[in-house]
Amino acid sequence: MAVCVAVIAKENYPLYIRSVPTQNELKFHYTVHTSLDVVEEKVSAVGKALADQRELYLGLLYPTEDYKVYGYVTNSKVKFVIVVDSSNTSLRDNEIRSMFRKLHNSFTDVMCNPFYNPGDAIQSRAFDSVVSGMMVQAC
Amino acid sequence: MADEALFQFLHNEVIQYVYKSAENGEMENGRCVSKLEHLGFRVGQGLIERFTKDTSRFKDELDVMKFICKDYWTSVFKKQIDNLRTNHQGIYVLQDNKFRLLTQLSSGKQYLEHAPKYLAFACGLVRGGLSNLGVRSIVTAEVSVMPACDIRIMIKQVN
Amino acid sequence: MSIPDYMQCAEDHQSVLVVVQPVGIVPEDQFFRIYKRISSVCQQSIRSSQRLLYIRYRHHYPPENNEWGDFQTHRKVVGLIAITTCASAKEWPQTSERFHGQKEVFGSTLYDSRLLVFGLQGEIAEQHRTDVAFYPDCDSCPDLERRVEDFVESIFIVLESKRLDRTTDKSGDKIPLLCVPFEKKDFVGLDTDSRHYKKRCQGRMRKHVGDLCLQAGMLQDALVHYHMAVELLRSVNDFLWLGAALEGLCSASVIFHYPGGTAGKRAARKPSISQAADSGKRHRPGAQELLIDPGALTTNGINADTSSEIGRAKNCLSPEDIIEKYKEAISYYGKYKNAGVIELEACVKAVRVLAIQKRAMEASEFLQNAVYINLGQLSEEEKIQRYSVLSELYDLIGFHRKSAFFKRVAAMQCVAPTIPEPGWRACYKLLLETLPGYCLSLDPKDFSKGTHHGWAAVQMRLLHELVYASRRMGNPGLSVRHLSFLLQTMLDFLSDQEKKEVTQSLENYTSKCPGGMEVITLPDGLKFPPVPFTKLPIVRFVKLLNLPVSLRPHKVKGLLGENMSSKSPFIYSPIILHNRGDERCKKIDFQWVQGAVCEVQLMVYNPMPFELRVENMGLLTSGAEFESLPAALALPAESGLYPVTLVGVPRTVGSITVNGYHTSVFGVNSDCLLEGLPGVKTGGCMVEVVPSLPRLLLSTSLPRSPHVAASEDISSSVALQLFNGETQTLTVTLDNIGTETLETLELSSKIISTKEKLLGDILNWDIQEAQSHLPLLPGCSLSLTVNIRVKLDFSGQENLLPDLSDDGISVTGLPISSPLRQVLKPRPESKALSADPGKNEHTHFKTLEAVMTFKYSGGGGHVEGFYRELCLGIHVDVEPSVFFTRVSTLPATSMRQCHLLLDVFNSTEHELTINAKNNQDLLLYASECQRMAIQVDKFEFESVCVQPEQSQQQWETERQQAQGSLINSTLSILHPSLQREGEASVEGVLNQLVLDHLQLAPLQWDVLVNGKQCDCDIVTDCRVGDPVSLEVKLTNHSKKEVGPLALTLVAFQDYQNGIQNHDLQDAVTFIGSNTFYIDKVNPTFSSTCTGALLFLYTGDFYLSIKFQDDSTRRDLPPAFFGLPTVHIRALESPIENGA
Repeated sequence: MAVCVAVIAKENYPLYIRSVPTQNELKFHYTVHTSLDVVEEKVSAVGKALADQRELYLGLLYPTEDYKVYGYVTNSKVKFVIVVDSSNTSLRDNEIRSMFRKLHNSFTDVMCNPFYNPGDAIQSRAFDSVVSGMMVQAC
Repeated sequence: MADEALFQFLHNEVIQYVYKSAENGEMENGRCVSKLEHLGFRVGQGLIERFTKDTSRFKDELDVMKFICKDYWTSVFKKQIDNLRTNHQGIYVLQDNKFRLLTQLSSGKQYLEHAPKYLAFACGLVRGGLSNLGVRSIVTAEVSVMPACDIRIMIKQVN
Repeated sequence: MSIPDYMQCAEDHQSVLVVVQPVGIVPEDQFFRIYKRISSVCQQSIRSSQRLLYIRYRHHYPPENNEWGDFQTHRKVVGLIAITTCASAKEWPQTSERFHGQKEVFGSTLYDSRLLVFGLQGEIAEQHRTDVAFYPDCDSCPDLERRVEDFVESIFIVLESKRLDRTTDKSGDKIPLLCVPFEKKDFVGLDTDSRHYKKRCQGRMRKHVGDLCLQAGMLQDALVHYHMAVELLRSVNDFLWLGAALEGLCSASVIFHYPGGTAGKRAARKPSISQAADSGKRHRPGAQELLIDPGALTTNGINADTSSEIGRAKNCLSPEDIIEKYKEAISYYGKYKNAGVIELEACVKAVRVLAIQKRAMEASEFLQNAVYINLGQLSEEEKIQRYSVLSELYDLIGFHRKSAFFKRVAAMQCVAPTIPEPGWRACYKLLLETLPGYCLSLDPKDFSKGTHHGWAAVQMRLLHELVYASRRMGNPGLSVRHLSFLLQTMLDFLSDQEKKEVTQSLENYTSKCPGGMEVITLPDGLKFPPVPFTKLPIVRFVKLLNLPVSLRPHKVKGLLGENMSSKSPFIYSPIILHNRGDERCKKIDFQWVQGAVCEVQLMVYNPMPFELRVENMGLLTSGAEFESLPAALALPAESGLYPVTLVGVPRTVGSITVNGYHTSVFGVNSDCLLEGLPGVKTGGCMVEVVPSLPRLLLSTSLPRSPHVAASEDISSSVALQLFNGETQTLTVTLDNIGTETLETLELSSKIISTKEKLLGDILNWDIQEAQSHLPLLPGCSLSLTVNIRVKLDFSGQENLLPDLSDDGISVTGLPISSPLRQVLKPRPESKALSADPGKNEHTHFKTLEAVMTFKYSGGGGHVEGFYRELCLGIHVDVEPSVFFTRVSTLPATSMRQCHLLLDVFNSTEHELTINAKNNQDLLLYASECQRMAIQVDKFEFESVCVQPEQSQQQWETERQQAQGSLINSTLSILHPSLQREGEASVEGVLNQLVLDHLQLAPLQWDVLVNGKQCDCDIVTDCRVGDPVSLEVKLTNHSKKEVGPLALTLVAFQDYQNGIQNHDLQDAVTFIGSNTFYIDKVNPTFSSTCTGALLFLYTGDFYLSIKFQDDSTRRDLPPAFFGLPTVHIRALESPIENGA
């Protein structure tokens, strides 16, 4: 279960960011923001590296004391970042991957929604509920 | 084949509608084409998102163009682009010898002057798709003998 | 060792450390000058061999670091250069002592030392000592560098000897155990004879030798030694030293692979030429790795055998291996918490290498690791340094965001609560440096277009911190600037509460230091561009307004060409959007006048959730001088499109372009230029200013009209109520209230089109009288008298016709007094009332509107051909006064005259008197109708000249007007009760029949009896028995020829009772024939017939001259043939005498 989920546009500004607990949101802003460096590095390395790097899931971006940050970049250069608690060791790679898949599916739906203007903040409630489903429950 | 026809009919009606509403207001011909192109652009953005959901990451520009020619075109028009040419400096020409949206119009030079209307949406589709993949471009189409058409893509190089 | 040296790089391992210190008091700048010169000797090739020695200089080195010298030899101080000033010989011994004392500090590791004395002269200075150099002063020591070089040479000699010493130390002898400071206690009491121990000693020593070789410039040997050390130490699991050996290996390999150094641009190394040449030789493909038996090493270290040389090249690690080994080394270091500094430095070195290898991912992992290395209790200074360095390193690998993050942490650290004197300045500086990492530039122009860059939440936090830091720094101007920037660029992202808070704090700050538009420059050269508040309020439209109508300049026609507004070409393409810039360059097609108050209207929007007070809002213009009069306004919360009018006065002539506007909001002055606001629509910003024109104020003698003017052009209007035919004078006073002299004045009037038929001019005036006052100076006034006279046609034509035919009176007819004449009753009033109420002529007011236009000019504007117009509207309600309900004619006694019978109806509620010129007054009571008769002359119609273009109808109208005016000159009306008078007009009342009757026949008949002209009333006398000559003359005034005609004379007597006696054969005889024959008469010719009569009896006789029925008579209207009736009185001839 994630503590923070973020969707970042190709121009590197946030389209959607939600974290639990919500009062310390700024901290997560910082975390996700700095993780973009790593994302960019990984993406630009694709051309030079081997073929198996071509999948959309980027894996663990970097660990901090309390959190682990995972990344995923779509072909349309939209980045998804999920931050999970370090102490949550039960989360396996596959689970993270499936979380990203769900996010991507939901995001595609948002994109195809005629009321959504690409580049705007995501306000779709359907997307919100998908994200809530994968976040840690607030206590 | 029913689903193909559905899209074609819808497409034709959209064009008629746009032109008819233009007559009531004061729009020039250029604006109608531009409007259709914008429609296609937005649709293209969403389509690409859906189609590339499960594909692997594109390596480079050429990879992107190949995707457009094969998978994208097939998904929308049920056939591939017949020929792709490039000068490797950002200009690509996609040749479709039997463009689905033109086959019902004529098979020669008749109604040639109306062809641009019917290609505007498709150009927008391509431009929207490319834009969402991070490629800024200008897409134009040329028709000399229907139903063959050339779609010309000029990639805006980022300095 | 507690202080990490972040600047260390891998290649520093091959340098020797020399400390340069002052002894006693040395002025700082002097010291550093010398230090700089000394430091320039950082690379030296040894004379006796091809090797290079690298030297590192420090002016401050903690002695405890020296204790790690055995671990890594580059850490120990091997040379000391002391600098001192000595003024006199007396001080010398003391100085010398101190020098020795300082040497003791590093004594254990020092190879050599030198003392440089400045300022001492005399015999002590003449001493030639190798270890002391005397210079008179800092500037005159030209051989300083050479001395240093010598010093370095001597160090090298010592180094080399030590190296050889250790190298040749074979395994048989007792090898001492080299230790690091914290290890010493661990090895007390250990068995020194065990193989384990011995191997440990060997391994450590081998590593040490490797270090020495590296320092001595023998790269390949160093590599070999390191490899061996690694083998040895691995077998004994001596992790710390194993790590050091690995690190040594890495350092040597780095030096080999990256001759340019890994320190980046800061300390670029000159790649040593000799080494490069060497390395070139060694790269031969196909060579195999071969580890050399250390026993084969000679004292010189270089084996002449080329095959082994090839092998040696492979001892060097590959670039990937370097990193692997570093990782390994660091992991070993990590096991020892006291080796934190070493570990950290190793990480830093590895990162630098990775940066060069462009492997950012791995570098970031190293750095990540480095962050968590615990160095024990760090001072705040050290923490700051650490974070700053981390930030720099992240920057080096391209992780700008992380770099910005750590810089921010460093900034926060500068002002941590535990610091007694927070370094706000440093904090501020560091914060500024983080800006690029967050895509935040302090130029608001970057934010005006397109989508927002960067993370708004983060940026806002950063800006708040900048504001706080600059405030604490004591620079309120900066705080204001940053806070304005926050408000301007992040407005969309602030919540309502935040907006209130930000604006409140902004007002707080600006109360001490108002914000302005200047560029703020920091002492270090950083510039902050100004931040105009373009969103407070948001301006959507800018429209230049035309002057009010009465002040607009008009151009005299003929010079109109240049003022046409040019349409901008409309360029359209489906892809490229229409460029809005064209709009702004559009020239406006009205002009402003110098000296007049001109307005520009802005539509603004207030985006804030509270009332926005804008003070001092004015225009920014370029071009001609424009004095902008500032306005202050308060806009309600979140209100849309509020119109604001800014006014100003153009002071010079020319072209004015409105570039923008300036405001003062929350104490911050902003100059907003329109070109920087892409969302603003404007209908053109450039306007011409014409030279000043005079300004007139119009006032009238009559009261102002409450009516709404017919069009907005009319500046004022007057209303009158007149009776039809009345004249009213209006005095118009023009005051020159401007500053220019009035030079020209013209007046014209225009009737606003009405369906009423107007008879005659309504308005007339004498302009000459007014113009005699020109030129009119400012403050003076002139007056003009205008006469208003209304004459409207209140009758309906169709009512007249039937009555005339009812009349049944023939034209050739009867005198008025004839009893046969019917006296017609006055027109029944019911006739008028039966008409539908809309046409009720009695109570119907007719309205007439006219506009008088005063064109005036003067001053500069007059020279350029401009004028102003003042319009005065005149609204007249016309009450009908008298109606001529019926008109008929009666023939008068004379053929040249006619009686006009007018039924006059008084439609007013007052009694009036109507008076025709010749007749007496006719008194009419209200709503009374009476008949009056006036005698008028018949007149020629043809005298009214016909213009060829006129249509038949127009000609008719003109004719009628001409006739009417002739007749009218005889009529006038008086309203005695109201003291008003006017004229009654018969224009429009005369219909065709009447006109026919009025028409003077073009055939003029003159009858002369006895030579005397005969006409209706004239009675000619003649004598009975005397022949009476008769002449009938026809003058043809028509255009066609007339004739031939035959006339018959008939005599009769009128008994005045309707009976005429024609039986007068025995009373009257004709002498000759009674028939005249007139031949054709051409136009303008005349023809005369003569005859004679003889009266036999006395009495009154009438002669009628009749026409014989001729065909010609039918062509011409009968009116032409009206012949006067001749009245002859035959008198008794006087009795002759004697008869």
